[in-house]
Amino acid sequence: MKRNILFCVLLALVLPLFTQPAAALLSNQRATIVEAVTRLPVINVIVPSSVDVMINPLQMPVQVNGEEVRDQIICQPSFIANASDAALKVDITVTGAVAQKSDMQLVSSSTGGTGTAKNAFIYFEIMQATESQVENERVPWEPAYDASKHLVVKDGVAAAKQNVVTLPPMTKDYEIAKNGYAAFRLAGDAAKDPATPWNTNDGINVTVAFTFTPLSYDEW
Amino acid sequence: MKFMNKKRFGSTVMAGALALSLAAPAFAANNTSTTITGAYTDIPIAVSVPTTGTAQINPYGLPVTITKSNDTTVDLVGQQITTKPLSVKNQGTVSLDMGVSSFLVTPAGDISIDTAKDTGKKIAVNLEVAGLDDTTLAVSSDSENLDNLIIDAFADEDSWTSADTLAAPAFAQGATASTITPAHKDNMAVLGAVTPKSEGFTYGRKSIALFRLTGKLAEEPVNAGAADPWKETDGFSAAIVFKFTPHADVAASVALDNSSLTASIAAGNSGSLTATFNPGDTDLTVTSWAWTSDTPATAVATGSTANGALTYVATGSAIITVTATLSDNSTVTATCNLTVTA
Repeated sequence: MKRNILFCVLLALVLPLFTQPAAALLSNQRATIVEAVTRLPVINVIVPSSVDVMINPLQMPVQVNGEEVRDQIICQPSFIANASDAALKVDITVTGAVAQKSDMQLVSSSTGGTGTAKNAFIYFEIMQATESQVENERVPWEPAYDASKHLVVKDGVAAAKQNVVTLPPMTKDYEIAKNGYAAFRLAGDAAKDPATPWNTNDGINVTVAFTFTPLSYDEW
Repeated sequence: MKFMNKKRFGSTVMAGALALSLAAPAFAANNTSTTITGAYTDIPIAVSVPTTGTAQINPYGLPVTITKSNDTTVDLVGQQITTKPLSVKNQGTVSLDMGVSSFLVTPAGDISIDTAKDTGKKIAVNLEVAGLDDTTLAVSSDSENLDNLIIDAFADEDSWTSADTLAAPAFAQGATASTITPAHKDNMAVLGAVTPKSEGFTYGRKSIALFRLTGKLAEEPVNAGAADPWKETDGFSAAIVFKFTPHADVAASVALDNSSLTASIAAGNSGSLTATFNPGDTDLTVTSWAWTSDTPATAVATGSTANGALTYVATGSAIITVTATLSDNSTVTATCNLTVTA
């Protein structure tokens, strides 16, 4: 019995020696554990789901935002807004489609308003916009088609352009940056007096696909 | 039994006598020896180190906003590994050398740790340690503003310009920590001592060091030619063991731009010396300067700033001394052996 007690006492004394942590710190050491997780940018862009465009070959007066315009392709400015925590590079792909019952054609160069074919030249324009331009819906569009900046809308063919605009991230107050917007529209021209007159069957559907890629802080 | 006791008693007496006889020289002399007993006294390491910290794998270097106790904020920006402010504070009266005896980063998720980034999910992680030399941090230990000051220093990239860096060892996916040799490095920073006061203490301008994890990684990783985007499950755990050893303080000193100078009177009878003060590891400043010559018949030294004017009088030698009186009323000096020739 006495031996058993002695054994137990010895065991109790010796056991702690073996249960010391392998990496026990010395008196002049201190340990820190830094845990890292991945932070992914939250991409949140406000994009209109649909936009109306009017083909106005005869340049009839149309009221847009209280102003009379006589463009042959009339499209109110539409806007996208970056509500992400990262700056975004914007790529676009534009695909046109002539309405099913229409006999009009989308062409790759300006019609000059002339010609007997029922042609329309339509291009997509996008540019950086400011908060005030969004509020006033007034955008300083380019006065004419510029191949380096614009994309021609083609029937059944996708046209793409990369890095068309860079949208800065939201502010620290989680508000859209003053220049965190981009404005876009369709513009162009059409034959005024084609052999087959323009009619209500004529129309187009244009799909604009935006691709947003985060930019590192250093890149913008 | 009685006989045995007597025998034992006898042997004890004999042993005592023998012992005394051997010890006799010691008693005989006139106490001419001294016994000095040496024992090592451990220097207490009083240092505050956070036990945990947090960081982000931040491929796009997005701003991480830190809110201070006064509700103002600072942003940590442009860092692909962004560490929230971490600091080490010496709270003892002994200056300390701060090193790292073990640094190991264990990956989680799909990533691996390596010494350089590549196009995949391979992260190079560095531990940066920056000793501060900032008088604004020399505040009382009970200052409510200290943490805010540290956050400001942490967010200021200038604080890191002379930081010492230790790279994490490579740690491939699937490897076990026991097979990796942790990185280590001595003397990454010096932590100045604090000054005790009636309650608590006052930090010195060098009592605090910052540390953080930094690194490089691919913004948009690819794996076998296909996009392999970052996932929220990707992460790592960095285990850092700091080591602190007493630091031999560097005393304040002053130095001259010339420790020996030969001047020709023919070339002009005046010259100058410039003194530079080095506070070393102290917080001392110079309150006044004085310039003297031990041989005014050869050269005279004048001035009350760090710039001393010399006037050569005649050929010969003189020792020019500049004396800086410091903020604790102590003085430090430097000399120049001047030889004046014709």
